[in-house]
Amino acid sequence: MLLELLICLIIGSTLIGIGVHFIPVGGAPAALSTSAGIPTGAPMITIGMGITGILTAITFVNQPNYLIIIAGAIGSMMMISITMFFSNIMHVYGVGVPIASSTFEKDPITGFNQTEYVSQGTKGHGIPTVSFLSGVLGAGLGGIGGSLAFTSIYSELSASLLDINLVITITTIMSLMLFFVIAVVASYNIGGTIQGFYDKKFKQKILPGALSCFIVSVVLSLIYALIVWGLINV
Amino acid sequence: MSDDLIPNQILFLVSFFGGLLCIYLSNIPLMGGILSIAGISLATIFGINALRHVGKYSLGTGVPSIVYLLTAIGVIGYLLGIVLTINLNQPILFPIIAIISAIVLALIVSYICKYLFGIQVDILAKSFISISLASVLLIISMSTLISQTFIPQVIYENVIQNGMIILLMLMSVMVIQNPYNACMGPNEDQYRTLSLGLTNIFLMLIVLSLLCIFTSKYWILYLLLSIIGWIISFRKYIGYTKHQVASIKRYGLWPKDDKEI
Repeated sequence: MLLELLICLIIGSTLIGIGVHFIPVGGAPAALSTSAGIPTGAPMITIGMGITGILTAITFVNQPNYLIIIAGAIGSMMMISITMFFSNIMHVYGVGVPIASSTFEKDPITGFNQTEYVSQGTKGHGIPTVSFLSGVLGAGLGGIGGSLAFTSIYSELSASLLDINLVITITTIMSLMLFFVIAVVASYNIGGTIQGFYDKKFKQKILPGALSCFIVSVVLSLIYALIVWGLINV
Repeated sequence: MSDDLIPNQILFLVSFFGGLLCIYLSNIPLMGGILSIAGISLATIFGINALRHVGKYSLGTGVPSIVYLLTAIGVIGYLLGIVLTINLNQPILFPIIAIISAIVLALIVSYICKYLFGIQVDILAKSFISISLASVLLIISMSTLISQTFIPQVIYENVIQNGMIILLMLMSVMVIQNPYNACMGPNEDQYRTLSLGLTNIFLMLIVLSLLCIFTSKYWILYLLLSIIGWIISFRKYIGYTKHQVASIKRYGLWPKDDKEI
């Protein structure tokens, strides 16, 4: 049983770590419209996405496991789409800049040229369509990972602890901590801004990112298995 | 960052041993809560000073994310400490196990940053360990203030079962990261940052002492203490800020490149 938990936790946390790399993050420059991407740091947006995903997953407790996982993914994807959509609205109607990014020449989905619309001295502004899609994909991966960790800890604990509220509380605490650690480790790997999977930076960064998230998740899963073992035997 | 006026080693020694002592003495009825408040202040001051050292390097994301990472690591260590000591029936070992597991996790993450990501900062491992140590001590002191004892079983019932640990975690993140993030710049000064830290601690203690209503009958005393402390430290912070403003006027314009910040 604990082995199953360990494997689920490792897969879940590695998925979160890979998902963070897909999210177009602009950091502080994006808040000043001098860089494309979501105008905040990668850890903050990932933690917000994780909290939303887990909240959606909690509402599906006692349903089949695949429903909980799908609910978590949809919650995260909705949160990130709303954030990116309103960020774009702010950029277009508030700041008054066209949406473009200098990290690629042509948007592969819409076919729009990017370089002509990028203001001089900046790296773009707003979130282009391909980055938007990449962000939704990354949030889906992160949501699947988070709710996978949630369901595995939940099913392990609810088998032996009777109080369902207590089980949900402890499971939420533990799966949120997973997001806090993995998101920051992945964003140290990204190091600044990234524009999703179509960015050139993505190819260099994804391998060490996945490897490091795997190592961290192995260590974290061992500690989590110890905590769950202790909680069952209290 | 300017040089340390109070050396980091002294802050480490005082807050580590003083904090542990405050945690172990928190069983005493009235003094225990006040000692917990002292433990909270010591741990936070040490965390802020450790953050001042690592915060001047660019690690790829902002300053708050360092504290988010290390406080989450601290909470995981804290959970492990509580669960293991309840199982082993050794309440006295609880802070030690929490600190050791948090330090091991922080060390692993810092080695990953160094060898896989190539972040070449010499003090990375040391700072990560310091901040995670401070966050563990801070969260344990907060829980001893709420549950009026350091026995893990009582803390488990009062802090973890009702989910208050998430609130404590977010409060400790805010209280450690805010002062340096607010004061950083070419004219950052240890006294000013730490006095803002004290202000934040007492502001947080106002909330914490309200959370103690159900567990302690002395909550009104803690509330009064924190309000008085907040007024004193805020006046102190305003004084240091005015002093610094004067020195900026004398220095002239801002530096041409921001490498020295």
